[in-house]
Amino acid sequence: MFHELIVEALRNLLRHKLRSLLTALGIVFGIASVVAMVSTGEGARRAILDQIRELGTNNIIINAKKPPAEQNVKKTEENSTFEYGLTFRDLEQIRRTLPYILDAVPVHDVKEWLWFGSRRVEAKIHGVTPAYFQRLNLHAVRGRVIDAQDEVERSRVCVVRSRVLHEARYLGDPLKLDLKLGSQYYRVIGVLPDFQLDNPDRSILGLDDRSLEIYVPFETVVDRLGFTKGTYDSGSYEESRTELHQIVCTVENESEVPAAARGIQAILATFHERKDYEVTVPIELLQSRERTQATFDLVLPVIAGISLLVGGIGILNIMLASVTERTREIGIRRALGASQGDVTLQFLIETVMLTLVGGALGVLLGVIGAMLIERATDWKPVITPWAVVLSLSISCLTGIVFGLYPARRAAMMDPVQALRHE
Amino acid sequence: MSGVAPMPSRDLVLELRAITKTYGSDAHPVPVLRGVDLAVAAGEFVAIVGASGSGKSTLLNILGCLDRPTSGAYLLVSEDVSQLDDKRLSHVRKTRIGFVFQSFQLVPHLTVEENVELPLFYARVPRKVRRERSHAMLARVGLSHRHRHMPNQLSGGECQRTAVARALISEPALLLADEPTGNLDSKTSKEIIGLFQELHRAHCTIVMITHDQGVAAVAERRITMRDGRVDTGADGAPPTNLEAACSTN
Ligand SMILES: Nc1ncnc2c1ncn2[C@@H]1O[C@H](COP(=O)(O)OP(=O)(O)O)[C@@H](O)[C@H]1O
Ligand SMILES: [Mg+2]
Repeated sequence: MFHELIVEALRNLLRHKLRSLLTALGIVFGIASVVAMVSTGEGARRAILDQIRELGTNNIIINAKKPPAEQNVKKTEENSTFEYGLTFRDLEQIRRTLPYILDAVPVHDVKEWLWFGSRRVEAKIHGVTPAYFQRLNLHAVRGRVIDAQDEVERSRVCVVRSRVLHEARYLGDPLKLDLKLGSQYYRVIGVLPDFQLDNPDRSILGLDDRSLEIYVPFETVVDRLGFTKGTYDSGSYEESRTELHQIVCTVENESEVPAAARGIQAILATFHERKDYEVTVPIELLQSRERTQATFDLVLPVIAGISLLVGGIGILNIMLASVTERTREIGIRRALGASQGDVTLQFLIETVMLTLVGGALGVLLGVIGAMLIERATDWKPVITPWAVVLSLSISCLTGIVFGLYPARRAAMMDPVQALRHE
Repeated sequence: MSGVAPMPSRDLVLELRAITKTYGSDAHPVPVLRGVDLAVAAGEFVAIVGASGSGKSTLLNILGCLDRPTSGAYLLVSEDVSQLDDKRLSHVRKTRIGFVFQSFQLVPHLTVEENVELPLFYARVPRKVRRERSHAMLARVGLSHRHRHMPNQLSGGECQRTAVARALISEPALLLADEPTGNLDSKTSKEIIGLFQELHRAHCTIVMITHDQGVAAVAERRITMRDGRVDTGADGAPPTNLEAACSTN
């Protein structure tokens, strides 16, 4: 009996295809936007999670930060070189005093000219230890990464991003290439892949997929290039000295990260009078991104609610018109034995079918929309089954809410008057 | 004539006692029926005649449980249906009443067979049984070749036959017709009246409103309405024994 009512409702809707389509349009777009937003939101959320995971959720990253110029005035009086940033003492203290820390890895950065014949490009040289690659999960696609032997020998070798080879317009075997950095040559021993996706958070690691990243053994950099560098800043020569630009600390368990971070903050606060460092905890970054996502999750139902309200009112309007138009039919059905309940059910099912079909079209359109968004951005849309189920239930509910009044109105008609209509 | 006890040999299908129907507000009441007493026995063919506006349709709608009387008692197959709620009244309509209207009242977007099956649909009869019975009923009114037609593809006579088939499909105790030939030409009218006579011979109980004296003449009994009352014997036709027995208490 029930399925016959559904078939009958669909037949009625098909009798006025254009009208039904136009009526359902509000629901179609309401649901479509919800599905598109939910699935790209889900996609964006996962993309952000992946980006942050790339930094390592077990890691705490400390970066040297150049303090504001006023704070250096004192220093320049006695010495023309000002010191800032992280030190070997910091590294030692962290390694020795904090029990949770599995390892702390130092990084010293230098900017140097990279020569291609007579052409030069600025390259970013990271002086790193073998452990660095391990902690940040970096694997060579060609050759190998820096090992302990390189450290000991202070060999002039380097690991490059494949971008560097591209920039050098070098097509031969990369492992036979000598790169001229500053005035010295470094043999390429390994190639790291380029980044597949944009990740703004990588700047925390001092990494940037637009610059030419070259990794050289830590000892080699310190030995050959030293800690001091001179820069021309707004016309005047300035000399600065930084021992370490970065320390990557790793704990064994994610749960130990907050305690370790507090410990690190405490140590650094003891040894630094100025705030010339910054501690970044990727997992905290993750949590704050999740909070942002939560706000998004709150806005979404509001937008969805408004569009469904507008769509629902359109449906209410058309169903009221349809009930008036079909007054005689209602009278006939009542004369033949239909109760008020039967008439209510008939019109209610018709409205629900309208919103349900509209909702299904909306899901389809939303999926297509999400795919288009995927083309425009890096986010991979994720269409979760619950989003589809939820969308269809919401459509159904909209039909019931906005169909009830017209259906009741049809049912309450006086049969005698209804038969006389027109 | 009145005051004679009903003959026990013939069961009453319906009995009206002092039925009134008043439209309008309390301040401006419009009395349409002013106390109607009527009894119809099983198998009777009653014609209701009377001037336009005399309350015939109002009476028939009450008989058909489409409307409730303002006061009075209505016994349909010995059950008082005058004050039932909508649900029960709907049940009475679909089980005991068949309606035929002047303007056919077919649902325009349903086929002939679907129209005929509607009362069974509301009686929750399974689809297969419905189809069998509608085909049998359409055969009976001579429309076997029109199952899948839409009402707008039928002639007036065919529409009314469909309506008759629909009225009869739930085997009602009472067949009501409100000017069933009012929209038909004289030839088709004769056919439809022939159909009613045939049903009468098959022991259907029929109450029919008509304007046509010729049509009224084929009925077993004639009732004249005047100003919301039954005008007993005023039409000049000598009442039969049966009429005397059933029309009043
Ligand atoms: N809903 C109503 N409200 C007010 N008056 C009505 C209503 N329905 C019928 N009437 C009046 O009742 C009287 C009888 O109507 P009706 O039964 O249709 O007469 P008939 O069928 O004999 O021509 C008419 O005068 C009509 O105007
Ligand atoms: Mg009338």
